[in-house]
Amino acid sequence: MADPVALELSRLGSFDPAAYTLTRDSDGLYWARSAPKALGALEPDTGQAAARIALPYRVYNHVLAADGIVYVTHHTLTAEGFTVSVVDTRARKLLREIRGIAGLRTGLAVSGSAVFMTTTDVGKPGYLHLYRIDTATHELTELRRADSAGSCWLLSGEGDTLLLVRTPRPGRPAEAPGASDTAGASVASVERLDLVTGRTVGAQSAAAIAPLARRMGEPLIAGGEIFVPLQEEGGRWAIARLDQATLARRDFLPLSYSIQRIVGRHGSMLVYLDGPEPAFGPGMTLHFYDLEGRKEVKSVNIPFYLRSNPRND
Amino acid sequence: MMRKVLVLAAAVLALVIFSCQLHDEEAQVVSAVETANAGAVDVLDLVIHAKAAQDFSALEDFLAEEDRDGELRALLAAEGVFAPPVQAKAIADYPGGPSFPTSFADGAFANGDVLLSRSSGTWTSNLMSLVLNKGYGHGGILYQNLASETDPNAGCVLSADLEGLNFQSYLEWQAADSIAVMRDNTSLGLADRDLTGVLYEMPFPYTCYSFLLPEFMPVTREDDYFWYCSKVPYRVYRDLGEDIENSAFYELGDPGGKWAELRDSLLYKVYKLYLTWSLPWWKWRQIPALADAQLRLVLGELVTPDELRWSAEKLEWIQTYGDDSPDKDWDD
Repeated sequence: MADPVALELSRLGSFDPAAYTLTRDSDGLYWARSAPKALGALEPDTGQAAARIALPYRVYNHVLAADGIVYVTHHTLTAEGFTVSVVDTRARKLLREIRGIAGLRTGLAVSGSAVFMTTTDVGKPGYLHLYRIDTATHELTELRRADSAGSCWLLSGEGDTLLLVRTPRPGRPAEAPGASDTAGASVASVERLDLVTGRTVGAQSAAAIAPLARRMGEPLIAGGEIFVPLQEEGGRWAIARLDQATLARRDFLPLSYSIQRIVGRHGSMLVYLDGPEPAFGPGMTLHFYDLEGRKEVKSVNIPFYLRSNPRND
Repeated sequence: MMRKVLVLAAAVLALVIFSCQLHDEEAQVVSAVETANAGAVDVLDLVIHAKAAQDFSALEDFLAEEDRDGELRALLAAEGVFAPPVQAKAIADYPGGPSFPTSFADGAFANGDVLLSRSSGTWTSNLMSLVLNKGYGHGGILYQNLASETDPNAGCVLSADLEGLNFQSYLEWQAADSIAVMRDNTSLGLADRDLTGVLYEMPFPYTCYSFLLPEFMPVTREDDYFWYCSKVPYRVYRDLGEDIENSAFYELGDPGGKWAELRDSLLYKVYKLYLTWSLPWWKWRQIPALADAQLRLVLGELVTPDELRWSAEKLEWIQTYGDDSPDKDWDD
């Protein structure tokens, strides 16, 4: 756990090495992948495992929706397409599998009374898909579909705000900022979506956010603002700070290190993980970034921290 | 005259009886080998699933029923089958050597890269290691277009394990002792292509994990139902027109070739034990000869990770991250 006031890390316990997303339920338990095919809960006060729920396929990312219901993504293509497991963390059981999802997950977010998921086809015809899963009925609806054109969709949700980021995929030369694909949308852009229809109700192109943006990461929505991690042409890393209501750019924050994702914000302190160019290899480093001073004020290399603070459980 | 006829008739009768005995013995041998084949495959299958799930109950039930003298259990124990799982290391934890990138979207990787790993801790990485005693134990092909700088859990390595064909993530692969990166060196130019169209041809929805069929026969390269990890990159390349397997790697035609080192494998030892059980009247030299023949047959059909690691000119070795001992395993 990163303490944004003391600028320190503390070790609560351990999950599976491939655990990526971590959520905290209303009872204070942390949930993450505890084994390749299991979602587990950790009691933070003791550091001990509090629950383990077996799932049909390997666990990748997950989100926690209302009433302790967790949605877990899988990467195994079945006869009925890709699947999502719906887990009741309070009853400690798998509720159901949602089937019929085209493509691999690229984004997953909760907003309003729904879970949203973006995917990319793994074969022809090469579409991007936006799905909505109603948390009351678990009904899956495809809201949008677009030609991938070398890009993918990321998602970010908070309250009633749902953002969709379109960014170039790796492995191909980056498109010029603001260039249009066959769907007529900007190759790099941030859009606010209607929570029922998935239609765009507000948009900002890469040109307006960061004219030299080459690619963008998953935004953080916090404190009435949106923070979009990005890399510019020439390789510089930065965070664009947008107004949550208008998507207008408020600030452009230069970073001293590369950024993989923003972990969170507390007041004027933003916490991010570095990568793909680690500051202090090997392994990732957690950086505390002061929004007022517009610079990193402390960095903690995670492997070094773990070696220096071995667990005693 | 009568006496001659009687002698001749007796000789014919003796010949017929001898022939029948031969026929009976041949049938007995065939039946015994079939039993041994099925039994050995059952055991290997149980071991793989037990290790993967860390649930040995089915294997224990089997041993209680089939191995009353404890001979098989002793063999499995000596091979470390019942050893507790090792905590998987992260490849970045290995000191020295090249720094492992934090994402498969990194420029150190490219579309079509064949990734090979060996791990002491993760079940995905050690399915084949359970039966191949040296070298690399896991393989997959990188679809870098599906990787992400911002989500190391994005599915971008197509491989096969107990879930059949599936997309594995950077986070799963980095929990390994070694990762070797092999790059397309054919005329296909995969590094500069979007590979997702290639996936369209793959028979995703109807796949299952296996490399040995119940007859102790290897899963064929053409089989669209049974898949194992290193068959996946092989088939992607082959379906595009390039054979990337080093079929001479094990030196199967040489009695002392590299293949003979796999006599130390669990696969070989279990099979030989089953032959011994099934053919108790056979001479001591016949069983190893039959086990050798079967091992060569299996290695001749399977495309192992090591055959991709030493793929001659078709794949270029780019880098080995972490512990490089699998690269050295086959050094003379």
